[in-house]
Amino acid sequence: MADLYCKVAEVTSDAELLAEVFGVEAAKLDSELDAEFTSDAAAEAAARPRDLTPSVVGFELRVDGVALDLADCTGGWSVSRSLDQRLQTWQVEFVLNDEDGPLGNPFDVLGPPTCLKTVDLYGVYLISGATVAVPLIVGGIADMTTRTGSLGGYIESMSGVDRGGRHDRKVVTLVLQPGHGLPRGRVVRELAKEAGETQYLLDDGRLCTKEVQVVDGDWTSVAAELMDTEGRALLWNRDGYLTNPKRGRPVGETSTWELTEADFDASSGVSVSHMADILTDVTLTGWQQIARDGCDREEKTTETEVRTIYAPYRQGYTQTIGGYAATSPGEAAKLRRYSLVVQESESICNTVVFERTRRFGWRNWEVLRYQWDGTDDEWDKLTCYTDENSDGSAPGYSYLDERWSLLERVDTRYYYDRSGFRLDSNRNIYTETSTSSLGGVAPGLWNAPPIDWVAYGRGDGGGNVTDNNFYLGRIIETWQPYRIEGHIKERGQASDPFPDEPDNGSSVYGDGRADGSGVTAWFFQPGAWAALEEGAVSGVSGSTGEGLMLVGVDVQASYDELDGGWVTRDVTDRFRWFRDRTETGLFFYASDGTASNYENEQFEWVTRETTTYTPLDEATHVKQVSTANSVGAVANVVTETGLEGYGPALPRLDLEELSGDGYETGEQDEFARSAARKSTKQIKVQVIATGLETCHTKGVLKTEMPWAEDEDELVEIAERMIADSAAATISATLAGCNYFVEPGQLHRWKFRPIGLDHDIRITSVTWSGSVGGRATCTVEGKVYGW
Amino acid sequence: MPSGGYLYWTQNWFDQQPWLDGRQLSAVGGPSQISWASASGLIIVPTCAGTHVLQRPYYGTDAPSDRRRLAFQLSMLCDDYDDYRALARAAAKGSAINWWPGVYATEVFTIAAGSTYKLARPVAWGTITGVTSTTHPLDLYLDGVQDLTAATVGGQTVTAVGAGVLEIHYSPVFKVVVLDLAQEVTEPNLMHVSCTLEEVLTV
Repeated sequence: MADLYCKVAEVTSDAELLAEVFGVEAAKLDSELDAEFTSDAAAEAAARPRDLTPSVVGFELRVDGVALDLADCTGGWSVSRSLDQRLQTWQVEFVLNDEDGPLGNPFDVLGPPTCLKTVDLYGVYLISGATVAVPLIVGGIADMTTRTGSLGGYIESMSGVDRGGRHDRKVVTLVLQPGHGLPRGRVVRELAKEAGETQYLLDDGRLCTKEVQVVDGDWTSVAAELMDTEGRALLWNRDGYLTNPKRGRPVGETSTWELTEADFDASSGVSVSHMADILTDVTLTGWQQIARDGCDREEKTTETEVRTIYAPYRQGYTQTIGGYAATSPGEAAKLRRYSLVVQESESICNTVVFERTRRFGWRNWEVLRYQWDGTDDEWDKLTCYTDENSDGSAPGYSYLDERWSLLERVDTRYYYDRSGFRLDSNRNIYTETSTSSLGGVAPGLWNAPPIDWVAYGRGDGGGNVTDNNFYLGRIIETWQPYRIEGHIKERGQASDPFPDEPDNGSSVYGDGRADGSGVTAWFFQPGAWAALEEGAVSGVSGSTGEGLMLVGVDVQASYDELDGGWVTRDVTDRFRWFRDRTETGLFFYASDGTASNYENEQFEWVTRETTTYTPLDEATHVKQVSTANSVGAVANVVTETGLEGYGPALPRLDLEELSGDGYETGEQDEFARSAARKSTKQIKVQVIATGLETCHTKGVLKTEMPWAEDEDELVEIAERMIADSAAATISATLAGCNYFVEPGQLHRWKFRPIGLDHDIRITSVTWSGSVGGRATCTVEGKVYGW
Repeated sequence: MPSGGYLYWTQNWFDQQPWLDGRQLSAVGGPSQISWASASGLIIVPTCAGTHVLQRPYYGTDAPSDRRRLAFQLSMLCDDYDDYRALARAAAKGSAINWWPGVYATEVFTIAAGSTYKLARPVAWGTITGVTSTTHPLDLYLDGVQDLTAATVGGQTVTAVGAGVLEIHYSPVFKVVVLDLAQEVTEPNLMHVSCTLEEVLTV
């Protein structure tokens, strides 16, 4: 069909035909835009005769494009077009001269003899010796034929509808998710396309965010409801295009025809009816689709607090290099906060993408208690608080009393093949140095889908997401109090023996664990990571003691190697503090008597657990879990067979399915993506026409408008209902047979003796005539006063 | 040039006895009275402004401006059995018959040179014995001025030579159906028959 369709009813100056194309669109239209028009004042004169020049008026019937001989058009005819009927109707009569009639024998085809042929009906003027045919219905179809034999003769009367009759009863399937954002006209167009209709001239109208769900269902009722909400009718126009002309109170429109007394048939006259029983009080309800920009993360926080009678525990002694001093008693127990668990989560469109659990409680943080003095060959005491006044193995603490502390933080981030799931830039600190020796998932997951996922439909191969919504994996970070282990002595060469004594200056905790400070570690830093609750601490300040730090990272990825929506392989890489004690020829000796080539513990990849799901058939699968150690050697394999099902389903973001096919512009596409799917709220308005109630009894209507987008639109609809109800109904037969008037047009009618000088919204037109008789045009409309 | 027939008009009106369904009615038993009338095809529509507008049915681009069907009232004494039988047969046929009463019909066209148009009835030439283009010639007026070359006619087809408003006066064969056949004997040996011959058009 044409991309551009326009019709000029009457041209009075060149300026009315001027068109302008802006910007780059001009280049696109080069040699693609072609327009032509005809403007014939004689046609208007024929349609609206104002003098005694006879207008020659007739009718033409075409079947499959072939005009029926006038000699065969032996009876009456009529065509009705109305905003109130979805299908426009026609009727023609023939005198039967034989059983075949002019179009065929209905007994032969068990129905109207035109079968599925197109039936076009034209109004005809004879102007300057030439025929001007004005389409009334194009592409119609017969729905019934009736043959009558009586004293009046042998008559065949055939009736039918317009092109809509070929599509209106088709069932279609079209589902548009809530928040789709297509204009209503586009929605109707998509429905019509599903029904096989290819001709449409639909104004877009307002954007629709409501869910459209037609499954093997009637599409025209949905389409008509949408258009009704918009204040439009839904019908096929006289040229056979599905259109949505405006109805109701005219706003900002110019009249197409101005008719006066000289244009109305005096025999039939003009009648205007005003009703007393009208609507004055309309209450409408509906549901508004809630749209949220970009499906922004929704944050949710829950706190669980325990209060009890408690006193922070105080250490009994202050240890210094010179000895011990007893401390004074601590404060008395009282009702106070004992523990606090804060659980936070962030969701995108109801899908959890981030979880954080923080546990707070009372804790004293351990510090180094002894340091080897190589000169005296003894352990010197370091400043700390402890519960023993001897050189024992009790821990030494940084604080005299327990402090309200952050004891644990566990962050879990879930990743989907969807924009917006990348880790914040300040959170990839450890990935830069800690990668799996096996390669694979860990480094890639932070910033982009791993390259090897591309083979399974994940990502675009360039490290970019493809928005197919499938689950990629998760990262679990665990932060807990931890002491990094170091060594107490070292040797120069692997062949050298370790010295008998610890290295001078080596420090240990109360339990003898060597100090590992100095290594790159990730202590919790309140300012950089998150606000720490007021009054809480997260370890020993500085780097010489225990602190809340990253102790574990689990990176899990799911693969769908069959691209069937099932998990075929799960891989989990675990990162921990690690000190390799397995090698020989080692240089560093820890306080526990083990040697390592690690000077201190390092945070690195330690194991990989791989779970494979192998479908045997549609009902069973095999699950195998294997664990590889830090050098890639498989250390453990567990196999389960005969498990039920094809395998676990690959999770998918519960977002709307956006095919993209229905969107013409990027703006519409973005609008749809940013809308929430199922969130709605009820809306309700009441409009009372108090002015009308001074003269009318109260007329109440309460109903639901399911397609209204918001309260403003409900108000518009309610006002339209009242205006329609209060509108006068006007009808007239025109003196001339005007084939150019049509429902939806705005007219100005003047008939002063009955007080008429108003704009008229034409609602229906009927043209009719008979052979050798007059062709008439009867028009009905609405006169709006409210 | 004056000839015979009615008042010696320039056209040969009533210069022969009428022909009914292939029989020329006899001079003795022929019609004692013929009257005919036509209804205008023009429709007058009064408007609410007290004015009028006019409408004509569309019959195609080659139709005359106004197609008036004629209805003939025929009355005759039954003095000739064959005349009576011809009329009775025409009425009993149940179909249209040829009727040539010896009058001229008039039709008006707005013509363009080279275009063809259709007369509402065929000319009688070749159909009615003794009626030829010589005995009953066309009388043509173009824009009100007699112009016998403004068009040519064959059968019902008019081929325009000139351009303008063409009036054609011609002697047609009317296709009629016999209606209202009435017969009465008012006194011994005095039988009357009367009927309506209503014209039907084929184009």
